[in-house]
Amino acid sequence: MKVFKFLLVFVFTTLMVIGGLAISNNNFDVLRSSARTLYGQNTLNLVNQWINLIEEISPLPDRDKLVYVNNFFNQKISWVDDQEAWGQEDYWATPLETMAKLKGDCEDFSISKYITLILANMPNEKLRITYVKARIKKGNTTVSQAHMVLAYYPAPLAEPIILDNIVKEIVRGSKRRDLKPVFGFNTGVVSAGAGTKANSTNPANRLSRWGDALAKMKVEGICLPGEACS
Amino acid sequence: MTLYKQLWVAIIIALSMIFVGSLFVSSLSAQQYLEEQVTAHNQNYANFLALLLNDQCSQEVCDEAHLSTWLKPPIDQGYILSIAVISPLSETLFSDNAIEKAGQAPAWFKRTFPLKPRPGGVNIQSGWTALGELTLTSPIEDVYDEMWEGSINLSQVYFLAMLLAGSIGSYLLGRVLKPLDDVVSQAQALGERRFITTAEPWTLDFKKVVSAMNTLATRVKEMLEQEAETLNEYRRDLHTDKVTRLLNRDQFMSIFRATLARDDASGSGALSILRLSDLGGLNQTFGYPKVDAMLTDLGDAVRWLTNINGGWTAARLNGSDFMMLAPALKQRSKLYADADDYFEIIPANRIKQSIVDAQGNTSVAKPSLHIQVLPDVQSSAAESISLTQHPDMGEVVYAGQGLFIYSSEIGVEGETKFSFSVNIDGEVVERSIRVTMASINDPLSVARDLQSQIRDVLKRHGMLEATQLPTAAIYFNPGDPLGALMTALDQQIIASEAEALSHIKIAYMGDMTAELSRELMADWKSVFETAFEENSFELDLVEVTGMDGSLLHYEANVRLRQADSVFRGGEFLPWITRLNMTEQLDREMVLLALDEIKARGKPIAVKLSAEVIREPAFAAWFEDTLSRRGNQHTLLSLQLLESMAFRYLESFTELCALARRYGIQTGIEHMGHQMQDIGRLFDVGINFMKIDDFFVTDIDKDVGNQNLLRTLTTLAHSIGVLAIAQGISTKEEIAMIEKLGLDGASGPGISIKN
Repeated sequence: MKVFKFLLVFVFTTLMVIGGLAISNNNFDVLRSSARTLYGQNTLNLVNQWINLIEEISPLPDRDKLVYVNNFFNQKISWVDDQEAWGQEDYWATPLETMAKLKGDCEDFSISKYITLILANMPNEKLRITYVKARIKKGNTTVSQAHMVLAYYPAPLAEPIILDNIVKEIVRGSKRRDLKPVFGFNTGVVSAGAGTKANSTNPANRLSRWGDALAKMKVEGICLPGEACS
Repeated sequence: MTLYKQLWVAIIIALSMIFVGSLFVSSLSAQQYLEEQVTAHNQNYANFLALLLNDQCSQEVCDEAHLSTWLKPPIDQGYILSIAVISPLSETLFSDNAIEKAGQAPAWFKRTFPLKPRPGGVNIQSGWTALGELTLTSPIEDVYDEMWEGSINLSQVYFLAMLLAGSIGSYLLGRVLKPLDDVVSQAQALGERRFITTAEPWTLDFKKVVSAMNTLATRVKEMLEQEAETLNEYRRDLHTDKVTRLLNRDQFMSIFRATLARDDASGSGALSILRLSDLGGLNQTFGYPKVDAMLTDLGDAVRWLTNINGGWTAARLNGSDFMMLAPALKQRSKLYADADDYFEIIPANRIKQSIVDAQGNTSVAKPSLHIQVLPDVQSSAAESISLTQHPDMGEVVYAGQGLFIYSSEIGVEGETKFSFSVNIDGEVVERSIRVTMASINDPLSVARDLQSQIRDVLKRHGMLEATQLPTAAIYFNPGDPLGALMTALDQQIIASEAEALSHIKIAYMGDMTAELSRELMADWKSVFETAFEENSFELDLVEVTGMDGSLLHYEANVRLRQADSVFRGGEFLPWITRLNMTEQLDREMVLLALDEIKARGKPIAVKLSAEVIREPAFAAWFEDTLSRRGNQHTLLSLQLLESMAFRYLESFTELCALARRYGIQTGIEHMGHQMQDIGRLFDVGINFMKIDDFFVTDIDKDVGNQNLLRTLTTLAHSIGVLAIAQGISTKEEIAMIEKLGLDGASGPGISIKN
């Protein structure tokens, strides 16, 4: 009897999860309600625009997706330090948070663009959020600064195209002599330590900002392909 | 399985289950935790290498040689097990791995708790160009070893806990079970039909058991006592005079005959007769009811005399003749003094009466005599006291209140005088008093006891003036013809009666003088001392058989071998008694019996005396002797006279307990005269009782004794005791006692059948 009950619960749960997976990809209802309840009508409007963007660009070629997405965030969001936007040194915001604040620093841009492209059916292995060392002109002097961009690899060994918030247009990596790439990741390889396995006891999940951001996204209603969402 | 073993098994099972459970849980959580740690370590290391290589490869071309330079050291150092770099086109750019040695953890442990940390993975790039994916794994054997060691430690802790819990449990169990030993020994005693009661233990469960067993023991005891009482009444009706409840002539004569036939110290002694002259005249003067009341009192008084002097037997032969048989069992001394106008002499027996203890035992302190100035005489302190004759015969002290106490050593016989003066009514009065010391079973002293006892009763009833109490006494030895003794006694009593005075006459048999002369004592003393030195005492073995003719044991009598002759026990034992050598002879007998057992393997019953069992050092000597004489002692039996066994029941019970520890049988001989006490035997733990010849002789013709023996045998069997008939001489007697259910017999009519 107990076994039977257990089986029933198991089967039911499995069905729910599979059902959730099936409908999650194109269903942003949870995200919409999060936007409205947490941030209000303005944010909801922007989120709706963003959802429309995803739906529109999904069938388009990669190159077009990159342009639309890059422009969407570079236009809507203004670049500030985390300190200004979030009141703390380094905070990795989710796309919803970024869209609600309308402000963001380099990671927030890169994350939002990355997530949007993934949601628009861009293959994960083509994208890498990349730490770079950037030389930025401030007045008369040029300073080196840690920065983050999104790199798009049309082919595994090809030169990537860079989506940045300093230089607002997308350009090939070799054109960006001001950037020196240091470390690139996406939910693929790095997610071995972060994204895919939602295990709360995994120290990488608890500690990493990337993990925090991915987890928060899930709560807000953004469900990445291949993830189980409620 | 004992409770202790069960406790240990329970503790081991319980702790083993907890151990396995906690080992499993702790290993599982360690497994998970370690897996995560290794995974994190892998990823950290991969990330670190990626940062390093990305920087390096942005400056120079990262070929395989270059990758080797950077990736080999961590492997060689042993912190990393394997590293591979696979290009996006699935080419292997670099791959190396260390070979891990197996650790201490056994294979089954690794299979049970497998560690599957995820490899660290990271993309490395050369400038903007992807170079490939780096994956690395860490060595895992050390981690297994850690887990294994932890499990071992845990198991050790549990093993210690098991030992500790077991030890504490055993200790507590021991405390709880301690009363059980007592319960078991009581149950065993009940099994042996010793109906003892014990104190109830504090443990509730055992308390119930003990309470139940105590109830059982008490019931049985009550039942036995009732039976004994019935038996005693039966015996009394059969053998006693209705008015005085003293034995009748026939019974007294058979006892006396059996006594004379005895081949030991009790075969000699004193016989006294007292005639209540003119009993017919008393009846006319006072009437039957008053005289009967006096006679009942007289019976009580005489019986009291037999009670305080164990082994004595009293009888009313016919209307006016009373007899007292006093076998020489003891050698206490007694004091007598003549009365005076101003002084009351408190006789020794009345003093003894006041010091009879709860068990009915009388103290055997120094014989003493109290001389009390009569209360109606006004007197002050004694002026002077002195022994005027034989100063070595004792001493006199003034105890105040007009009371003089004269005391003497035991064993001294003779006569002395002491004189003293007291201030009476302002006048100094001088008096001298004659004091006689005599052995207690001396014919004269027995006669005096009997006479003074009866005189007291007559005085109480106011009949003393109306009658005389002529008394006679005689000394007898084993084998003396009964008829001749009675004739000699008769002559003396007739002579005494003719004088119409309450005189005491001592009769003598032919040449034999019963006077105890000091010279004779000294002679015997030297004979015995030589005999002890030269080991010339011998055993005279008499068969005791079962009803099927098989041997039960030999009863050991003592013989004394002199150069050319052999003395039978009866000839010299009275002298042994008088010379206080009984204890020494008893020990000699025990040693002789043990020698005989060792030499020939014969089962032997040794007769002990009351003196030896009451001697405090005997038990220790006996145990010591047994342990030095090897293990033949299970063939030894000990037996004691009935009168002595009941008189010193406490000492006898202790001796029986000691004997039981060594597997030695114990028993009572010449049983049957104190049937009222038979209930007291229920927890003593004897193995056999030998019923006196008195009840056995002519048993085939005596229906009364048949009933008595049948009941006594049933009673004996109910407390697990063998009943053996003594003095069997005819086939008819054997057939009858077999029919009555007795277990064995001894006597001239008995022979061993093989």
